[in-house]
Amino acid sequence: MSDVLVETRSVTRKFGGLVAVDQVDFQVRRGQTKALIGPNGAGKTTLLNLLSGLLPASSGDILIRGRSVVRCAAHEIAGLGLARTFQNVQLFENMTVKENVMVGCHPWSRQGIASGALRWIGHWREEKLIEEEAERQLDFVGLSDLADFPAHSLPFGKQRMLEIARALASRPQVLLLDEPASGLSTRETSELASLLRQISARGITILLVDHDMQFVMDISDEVVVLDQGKKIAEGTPDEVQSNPRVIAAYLGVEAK
Amino acid sequence: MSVGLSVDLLAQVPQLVISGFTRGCIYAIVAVGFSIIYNSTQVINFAQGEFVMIGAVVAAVLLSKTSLLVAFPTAVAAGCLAGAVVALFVLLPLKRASVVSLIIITIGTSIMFRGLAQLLWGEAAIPAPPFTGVVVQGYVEDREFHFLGAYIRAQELWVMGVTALLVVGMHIFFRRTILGQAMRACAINQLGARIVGINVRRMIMASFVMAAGLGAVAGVVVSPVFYAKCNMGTALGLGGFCAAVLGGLGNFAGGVAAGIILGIVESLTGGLLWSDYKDAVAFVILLVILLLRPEGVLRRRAEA
Amino acid sequence: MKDSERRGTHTEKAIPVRKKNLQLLNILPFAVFLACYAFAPRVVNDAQLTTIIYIGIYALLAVGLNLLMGYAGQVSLGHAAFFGVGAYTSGILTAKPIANEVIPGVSAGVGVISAVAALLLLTKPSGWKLAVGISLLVALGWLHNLPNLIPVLCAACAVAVMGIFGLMAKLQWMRTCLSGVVLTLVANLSKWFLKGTLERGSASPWTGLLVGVFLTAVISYLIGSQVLRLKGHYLAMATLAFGIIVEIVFRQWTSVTGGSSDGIFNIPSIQFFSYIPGFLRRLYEAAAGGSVDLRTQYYYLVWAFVFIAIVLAVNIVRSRVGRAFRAVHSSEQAAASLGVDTARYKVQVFVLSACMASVAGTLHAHNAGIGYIHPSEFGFIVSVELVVMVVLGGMASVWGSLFGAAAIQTLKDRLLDLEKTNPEFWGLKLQGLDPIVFGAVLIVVMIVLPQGLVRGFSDGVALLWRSARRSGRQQGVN
Repeated sequence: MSDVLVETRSVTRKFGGLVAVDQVDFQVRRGQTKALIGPNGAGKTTLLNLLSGLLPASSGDILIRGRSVVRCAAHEIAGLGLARTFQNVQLFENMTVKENVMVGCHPWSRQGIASGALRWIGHWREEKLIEEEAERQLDFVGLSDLADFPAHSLPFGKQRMLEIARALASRPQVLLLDEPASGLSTRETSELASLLRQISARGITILLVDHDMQFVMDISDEVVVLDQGKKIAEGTPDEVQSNPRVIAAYLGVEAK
Repeated sequence: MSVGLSVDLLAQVPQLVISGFTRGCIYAIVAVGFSIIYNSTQVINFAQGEFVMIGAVVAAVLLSKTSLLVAFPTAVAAGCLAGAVVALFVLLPLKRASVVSLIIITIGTSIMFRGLAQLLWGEAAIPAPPFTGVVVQGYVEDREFHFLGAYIRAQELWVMGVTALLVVGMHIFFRRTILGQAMRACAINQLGARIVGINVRRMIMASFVMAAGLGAVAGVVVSPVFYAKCNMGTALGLGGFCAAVLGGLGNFAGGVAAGIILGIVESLTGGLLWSDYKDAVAFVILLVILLLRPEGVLRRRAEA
Repeated sequence: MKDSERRGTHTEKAIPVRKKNLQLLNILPFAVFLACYAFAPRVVNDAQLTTIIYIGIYALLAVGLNLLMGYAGQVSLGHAAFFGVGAYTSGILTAKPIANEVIPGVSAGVGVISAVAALLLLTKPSGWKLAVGISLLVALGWLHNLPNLIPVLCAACAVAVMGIFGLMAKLQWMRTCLSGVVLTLVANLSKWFLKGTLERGSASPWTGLLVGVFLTAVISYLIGSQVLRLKGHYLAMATLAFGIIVEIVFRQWTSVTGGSSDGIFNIPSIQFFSYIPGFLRRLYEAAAGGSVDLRTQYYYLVWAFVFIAIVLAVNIVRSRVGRAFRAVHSSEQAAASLGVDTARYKVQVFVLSACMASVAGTLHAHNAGIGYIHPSEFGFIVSVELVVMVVLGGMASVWGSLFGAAAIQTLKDRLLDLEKTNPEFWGLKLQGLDPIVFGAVLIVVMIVLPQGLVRGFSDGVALLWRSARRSGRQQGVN
């Protein structure tokens, strides 16, 4: 049980009449890199939003580290060690690159408003830790020389990297990546793949959504395939690629 | 004591309902104005109440000098002009404008109009003669009808009639005319509208002018009922916004119904409960509705 | 990728935000500020000092509002309400009423009770809040010796509203009854208690300040925790409505606030120098060059508060919580996904800026030589003026707020001077120009310089500097 970090139990999300995620069950085990794939509109991003608490589930249960989180707010889920990036990169554009990563340190830092306003000792001590962590993560994704630039001035590929650094700064156990490779060049994508392997080697569990099949098959240990909100297949990349239902879903053929 | 009080008060109920209905009609028109602009731009125009003020003040000034036939179109034209000005200010920075800056821009225009009216016509209330009345000793006095234990003034009937006409007119406009359908298209999908060749900027301009014109008409018909004052706009604007939220932003029929209900509730609570605080009633209702209601509205939008 | 083209402006063009090794640049403004603070009374005349005191009061307000609006991105169009709560609380507690018109402290108690009652009935309905609200209203009716008709009607309305929204099922009747009984008891006790202690005009200004801040904190917490769930336009409208309600209360609650005809007058000033140690007093006297009169003392007091507010604001902005505020402004979703409790931080910054406004209100009430407050000083137009100050100085710029407050206050003075000469323009008497000018300032700044004058100016200088350097380098190459 302790091996399973993220688990969904017949989780469902409806938008009006549309069932975006329909009774999906799956598990992510510690240390795994797992991918969610599926054609457009399969409900992948919705599922990530449910996991990270940005959307409430209509029914079903979600467990993170064995705790039910369906009633939790997004920030509480983040406190459990789950960090994420967004499909359409959501940086804090009014802040510098480094400050963005420093916000990422929020879950494990404690100083409140009075401490910040009056600069108590705790503030200095913690601020130093936060800065070190931010510098470490920026160094890891290769952005340390851009640390003091406004975040919105970065080119798109670097913004994606910054978002990953920001998520890592929260010291997550699980990292959710929503289409990390979309909008990246071939070279940037392969850089991303090697970065994700390093993250995985640090012992961080990764759950990602992407359209780039080669990228997904390359880095993930297991793949879950969604189609029209339902899970239609799960297994290793090789198993999934040879699964007739998956091929049918992608080619638009009616599965038997 | 409380018994005697309540009998006295109960007798006032029909009268309060009628005056509330009149006020509610204005809220309804303002709510429709909010909806028209919201539909085409997703902007809440904080200057909406000022259009009513402009219509009312210009009409009041002119009605005492000239006939209705001159005053009415002039006042409405002034309102439309004001609408065009707001549209211009909103459209200029549209590409990079955040919600906060749009709020600030419309607030800015709102207080500018208010200041301008104050400069031109002073702070005092301006009395206006009713449209149809009898001349008594040199003054035009309104006709009054007795109706279910209350007096109803001819001007109040005018307000109700014009409101009904405007609402029906708007309905026909948006369903039956090309321009109206183009505006609806902009509301549903701006990019799509642009692709099929609709000039979105022009549509936004049109929606502002139309909302302003509507407001000004409301102002004209209501100026003999309330006294026209340069600071009447804020309260009417907030009431109209309240109605628009209650009825669902962008939903005309809902806004109209909510506006009339709001007017009556406000008049009754103000008249029966807190006469000292009767100006505050509308705002309290607005706060309560905002806190209870928009979650639903917003959630529906987020899901769509 | 189209998206990347739009977002990815070239890094070369961007200006890096200045680095830590320029600590001097961070301290420099404070040094300049302190120097001006100490020596200003030497160079200004009496009228200018009055203006400077007002600038200080509005700077306090603007710095607070900027934390809320500029940094945390939450619009408030009712900020003058908290300014007023601070001013009225202190005024009511400290001003000696005219003889034969002694209003017992009960009024103040009634004020607290009715505010809490009204707010509870306004907030998200739940069983205990309903019970508390109703019992407070009953107590209120009793205190005013009114027939219990009004509270009962209010209760009926509240029950009807909750019934409509299907909340009756959630009522916990036992707790409801119990809390009702307890609160009626508390209200009666407090009437007896307050009569003796909260006599009008008996409190010191410092008590007024503290009670005002406390009351503001309670009100702003209750209002903020509800209203800040709203976003954008809805939030702006709700704060606007709140501000106007409070103004109407100031106008109509004549027995306590003096209403709109009288206001509150005879509010004592604060003799700042009798509260500070001797060496500080001598320091001040040395700076001002001689003995210091009451107005100059007041100037020192007000601007000491401004200094503290600026230090606190600058510190907060550059701390963990400040970064959380700015994150909430930029993207609430991303902030929440990084563990930032967005609701909590929004309420926190709302309460903080309300409390700063309350302090400014107290200072305004005790203004030396004036000591008079009136509802019109806390109305909608004032809230808009505060927004103008923040916008003009630049959102998310603490020093900018100071500049915005100074600019607007000076402009207001100039307009007043102009109006005193009874100017005419095409036969129009130019009176009450404030709204037009402020409206125009808002629109122009928002369209032309959305970052505000200070940031816009410094960015412009930086850009010029860089381009000058680059062209210099190119000439060197050639």
